[in-house]
Amino acid sequence: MTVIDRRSFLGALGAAVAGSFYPRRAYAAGERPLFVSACFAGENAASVAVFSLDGEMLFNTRLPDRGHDIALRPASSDLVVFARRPGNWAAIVDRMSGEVRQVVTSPEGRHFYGHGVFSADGALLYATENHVAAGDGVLGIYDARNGYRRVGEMPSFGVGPHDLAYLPGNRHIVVANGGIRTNPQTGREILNKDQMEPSLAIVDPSSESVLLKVDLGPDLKGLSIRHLAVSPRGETLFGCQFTGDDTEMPALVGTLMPDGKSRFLEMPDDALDAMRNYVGSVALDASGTFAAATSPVGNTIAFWNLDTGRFLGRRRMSDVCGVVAAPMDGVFLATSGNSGVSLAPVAQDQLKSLGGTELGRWVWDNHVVSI
Amino acid sequence: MRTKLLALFCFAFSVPAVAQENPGRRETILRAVKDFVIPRYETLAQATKAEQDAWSAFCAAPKADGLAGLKSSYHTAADAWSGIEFVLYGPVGTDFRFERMAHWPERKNAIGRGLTNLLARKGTDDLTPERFAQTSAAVQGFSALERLLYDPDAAGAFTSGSAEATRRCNVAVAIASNLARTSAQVLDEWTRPDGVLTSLETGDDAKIEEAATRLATDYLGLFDIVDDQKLGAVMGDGTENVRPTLAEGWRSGRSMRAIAINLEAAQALGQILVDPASDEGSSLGFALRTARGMTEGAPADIGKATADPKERRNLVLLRDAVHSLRETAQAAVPAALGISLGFNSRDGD
Repeated sequence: MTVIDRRSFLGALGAAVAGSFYPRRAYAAGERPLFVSACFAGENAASVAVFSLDGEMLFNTRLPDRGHDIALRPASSDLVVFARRPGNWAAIVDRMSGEVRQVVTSPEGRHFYGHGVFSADGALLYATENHVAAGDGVLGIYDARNGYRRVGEMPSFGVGPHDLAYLPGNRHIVVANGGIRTNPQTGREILNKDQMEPSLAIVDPSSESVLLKVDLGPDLKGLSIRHLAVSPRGETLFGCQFTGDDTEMPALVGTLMPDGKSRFLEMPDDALDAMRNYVGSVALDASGTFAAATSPVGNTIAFWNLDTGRFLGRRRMSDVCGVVAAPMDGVFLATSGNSGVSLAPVAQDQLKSLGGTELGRWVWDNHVVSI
Repeated sequence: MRTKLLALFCFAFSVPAVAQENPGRRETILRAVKDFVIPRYETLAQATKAEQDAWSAFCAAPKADGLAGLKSSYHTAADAWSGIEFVLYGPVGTDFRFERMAHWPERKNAIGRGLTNLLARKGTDDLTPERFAQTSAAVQGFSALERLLYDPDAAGAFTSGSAEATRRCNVAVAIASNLARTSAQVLDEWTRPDGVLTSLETGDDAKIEEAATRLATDYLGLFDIVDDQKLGAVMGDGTENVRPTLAEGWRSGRSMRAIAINLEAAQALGQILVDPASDEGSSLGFALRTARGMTEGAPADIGKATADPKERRNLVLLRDAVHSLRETAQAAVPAALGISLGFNSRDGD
């Protein structure tokens, strides 16, 4: 539960300061591949950390509570770390120094869902939010040029929006509307289990209209669409979590083309079973050809070739959730809540642990992002 | 105000969070492996080997009165599995062995479909260890063997002397052999000279910390599985929504027995992970004894009991006890081992 009123928010931050300050050491971006993820560093020390592909931790910054996804502001050094659902804060962190520049809170009656995306010019931040009283999904609009002032909101055109991403061309945003209405008290208890309305909506922020809305049909109402990755040719990879009867086993990963054609990616029953009806993150590799989906419940990463639609196998990694393209084609970087950070090449059976450092010992939260 | 707010966030550069050498933790983890993990895999390897031998002997000359002995060896082997089942750390995680040992909860009738396909084929070419390992994980372990052995018509199906009966026997032997082989491999990979035990004995503190984290995660995960899947999914939200066939091992009448053994295992490992003389260890011991006490004398069949309003109350109490046990263990185990646990699997998004 991360809804924090102003007083307890400050209290939580005060407690977070109990950790010590370390000397500053700036680094230049672009020198080497860097990644950012929310994590725990030690007992209850919720943090956000930046680390390199060779396993070095560049900084970690304490957060008052668990973070979820991170949005990168183009042409700027801002990282926006969102509170885990149903949080009401987002921290603007300098990606070079780790310094927290600002804390943005969601307005009264709204809470963040944990994901956001910037317009291509870095001016506006769109964050998935819940209109608590109505239970409708909205995209809160924040003006990064003016201190992240909230300048408006538009519908997400669905209930329970979660992840969102720009399509190529940077004009339209695809939103995963998870379809789940949650109890505003806990923000997690599902209220509409039998009437979920999951959908993917392609929206035009300039006109605040919906261009296309795709649902998965009445048979798959329990399949909450939650996470996304968009390929260079505009194919949206989506990953789902099934909240229905646990003796069922629907496909969990699919793609949507900009023209509205969608497909599920096939996988053998054994592999699908190993996902345990839950996908925590999806990613495309650097070439845009390979897709990965993780299941922390099933301790599994699965791979596909998007061109052929073929399933390419699965790997075991305990509590794996965060996944993102590594710089090399056909290689992913994956993070776990209890077994560190690993490189996962699609073509090899073995994962390569980025070990030997604190990366292997920290607890990594749901998502990792390439800087 | 903003400056003040900002000052309250704390940023820290990568000062190597030095792996804290923790001699107590090393000793605890090695004891957990030597006194809990390895002996239980030894028991499993012996029991599954005995079960394999029983099936081979039975199938040499199938007779209906041989089924009782097979059921007895099945229970012994399944008991051994229930006693170590919650551990995913280590060699049982390799090659998806865990899913091949047992396949529960079953989705999309995977075992039924898989067995129908398997039984329809002929000969034994597809039952060699190499080929059999390639077949559906659902048909390779305890769950599939139970389905064959506790089929209401098992006696006729195994002993009719038909080609189908021979095939059925060969499939059962293949499953029993797979269980024995996999159990032996897991034990060997723990204990051989270059095995996991040695790597822990000679490994640095990061290695021990990883083992501690993984074992603690598995340990707490057990209580979630008992609470949500072994009890909750079967019980539904009322007597009218009971799902008896979701119970683990309902065909062989093992649903409560499996939980009782799971909790016995939890107590055995709990005593090692958290010093019973400490306050936390004492709380954990109390919570474990409370939950275990509720399984004693409880009806064997959870599905049946939960449909009966009177019996159901006791199951609700057991579920509450396991829930509270989880909370107690969550407070005690990571602290005792000096680790923090992440649960993307449990509270992801």
